[in-house]
Amino acid sequence: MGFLFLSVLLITDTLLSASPPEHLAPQRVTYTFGKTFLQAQKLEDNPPVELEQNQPIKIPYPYAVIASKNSYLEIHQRENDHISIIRLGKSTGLEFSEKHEIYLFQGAALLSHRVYIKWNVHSPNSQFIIQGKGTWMMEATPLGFKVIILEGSLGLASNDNIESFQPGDLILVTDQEGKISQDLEVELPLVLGTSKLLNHFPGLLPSHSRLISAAQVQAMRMKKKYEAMIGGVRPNRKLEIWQIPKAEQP
Amino acid sequence: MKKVSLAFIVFLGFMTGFSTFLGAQSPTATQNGSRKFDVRPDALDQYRNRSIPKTSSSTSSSRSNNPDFMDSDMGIQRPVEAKKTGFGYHLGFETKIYHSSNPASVDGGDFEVSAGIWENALRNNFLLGAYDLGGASFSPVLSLTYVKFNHFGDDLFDTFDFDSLGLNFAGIFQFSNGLTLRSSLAYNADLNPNDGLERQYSQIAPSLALGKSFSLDPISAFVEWSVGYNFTDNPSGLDDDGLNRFETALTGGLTVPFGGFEFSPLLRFALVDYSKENRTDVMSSLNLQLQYAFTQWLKLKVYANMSARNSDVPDSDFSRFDTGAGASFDARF
Repeated sequence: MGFLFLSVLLITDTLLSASPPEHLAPQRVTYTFGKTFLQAQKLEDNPPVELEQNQPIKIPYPYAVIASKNSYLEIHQRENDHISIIRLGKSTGLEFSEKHEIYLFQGAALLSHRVYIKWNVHSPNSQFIIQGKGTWMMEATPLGFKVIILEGSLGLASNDNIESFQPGDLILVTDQEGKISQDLEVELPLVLGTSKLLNHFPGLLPSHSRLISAAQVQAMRMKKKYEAMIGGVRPNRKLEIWQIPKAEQP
Repeated sequence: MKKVSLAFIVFLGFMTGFSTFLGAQSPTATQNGSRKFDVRPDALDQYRNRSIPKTSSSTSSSRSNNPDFMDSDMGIQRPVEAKKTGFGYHLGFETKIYHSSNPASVDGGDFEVSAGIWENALRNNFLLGAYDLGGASFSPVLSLTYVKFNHFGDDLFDTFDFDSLGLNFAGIFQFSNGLTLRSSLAYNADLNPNDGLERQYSQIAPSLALGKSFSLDPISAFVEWSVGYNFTDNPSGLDDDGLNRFETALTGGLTVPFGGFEFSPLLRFALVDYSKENRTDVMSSLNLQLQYAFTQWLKLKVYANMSARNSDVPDSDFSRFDTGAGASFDARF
C-alpha cells in the first residue's frame, strides 16, 4: 500500500513538473531578423542566448528579449486559446516581468491581441496600464512613452480613471505617475504604410483587416491633415513637430 | 422597259414620301428631333463624382519605401483632425462646355450633326456616417444632383435642352482587400425647362456593384462590375415603360497624378437588354480626362469622350465624340 502511494506521488510529481511540449510553451519566437537575444535574470550564470525562429521560450519570468541594431523580433504568447503577438523594433530591449507586465528599456514594440488583456507597462521614467483588445504600438521616450492605438477598443488607466482611446490616437505618457500629457490623432493610413513594426515582418497580423478598416473609416471621417510630422519628446517636455517640405509630403 | 422604269420611279417616290411621313409623324423615329432618354448622359460622371475617398492606395500595407527623413519603427506620424461621427457634406458645382459630333445619339439622318453643349451640374453628397465593422467599413451616402444641358450651335437642337434631377441612395462596403460592394437605388427625372419643368422621362434604378481597387504608387486603378434594372416612365412616348431595361456593365479606370495634374481614363462596356422589346444593345464608352487642381476646391479639366451603341434593332446604333473643357468647385464640410 505504501509502495503504491509513493508510486502515485512520484508519477503525479513527474507529470506536474514536466515542461509543456514545445508547441504549448507560453512564448515562442516566430520571426527573427538580425541579432536577437534572450537574457535570463541572473546575468552571471546565464549569458545572452541568441534567438532562433520557432524557438520556444521556457525560462521562468522575469527575462528580457533584445533586438539589436537593425534587428527585429516577433514573439507569440499563448493566452489560453488565443495568441498575443509582440513585435520588437530595432535597438529594443523589453523585459517580461510577468506574463502581462513588461518593462521597456528602450526602443519600440507592437502588441496585438484579440482577447481582453490588462498590460502593466514600465520604463525607467514612467509607467502606465493599458487594457482592452486590439493592436497598439509604444515607444520609449526620454520622459515616458509614446503610444499609438491602431485598432480595437483600448483604454489607458490614469489617476484611477480609465480613458478610452480610438484607432489613430497618439498618447504621450510621462512621469512616474503615468500622466497622459497629450493626446493627438495621427493619420492611420500613413502609419500603416510606413511602420516597420507592421511592414518589416513577413506575415500579416491576424488583425490586418481590422487595421485596414480602421484606417478606411478614419480617412472617411478626415477633416484636415496638418503639414507636419510628429517627432520625439525632448527632455524639456517639448514634443517635436516637424514641418514637412512640400517635395517630401507623403 | 419604259413601264419598269416608270414603276421604279414611282416606287422611289413612294419610299421617299413614306420616309418623310415617318420622320414628321413618329416621335420615336431615330432620325427625328426626340432625345434618346435611355442614353444617360452621366454614365461615367457618376464614377468621377463619388464622394467616398479612395483609401485603398494609402491603406494598403505595401512594403513602400520609408521617407529618408523619418526612420522610426512606428512609422510617420502626421497629425490630423477627424470627425467623431463621420457625417459629412460635399457640395460640388461643375460647368463644362463641349462639342459633340452627335448630340442626338442617332444613326444617320438630319440630326446626325454636331453641336455645342453647355452642361452645369450642382451636386450634393451627404455622407451619413462611416462605420468600422471590424474588418470592413460601411458608409451610407445620399446624393442629390441637378444638371442642366443647353445645346447651341444648331437650331435643330432647340428642343433638346433638358434638366436632369437625380436622387441616389447608396450603401458602400469597403473591405481590407480592396473590394467594395455598393448597393444603390437611384431616381432620375428629365425635365423640360421650356415647358415649366414638365417631366419628360424618369427612371428608378436599383443596382448592385462589386469593385476592386488597385494601387501601383502613385497610380491607382479600379475595376467594377455592376448589375441593375431601370424601371422607366416615359410620358411623352408611345409606351410609358417601353424603355424598361436590364443593364450590366464593366467599368475600369486609372488615376495617374503628376505634378498638379491628374490624368484619368475611364472605360465602360454595358450590355443592355430591353424588357419590352426584343432588343439587346452593347454600349461602350471611353472617357479621357486631364485635370489640374489649382486649389483643393478649384479644378480645371479638359476631356474627350467617345461612346457608341451597337444594337440588334436597326437604326439604334450610334457613335459620338465629345470634346470639351470645364471647371469644378468642391467644398467638403
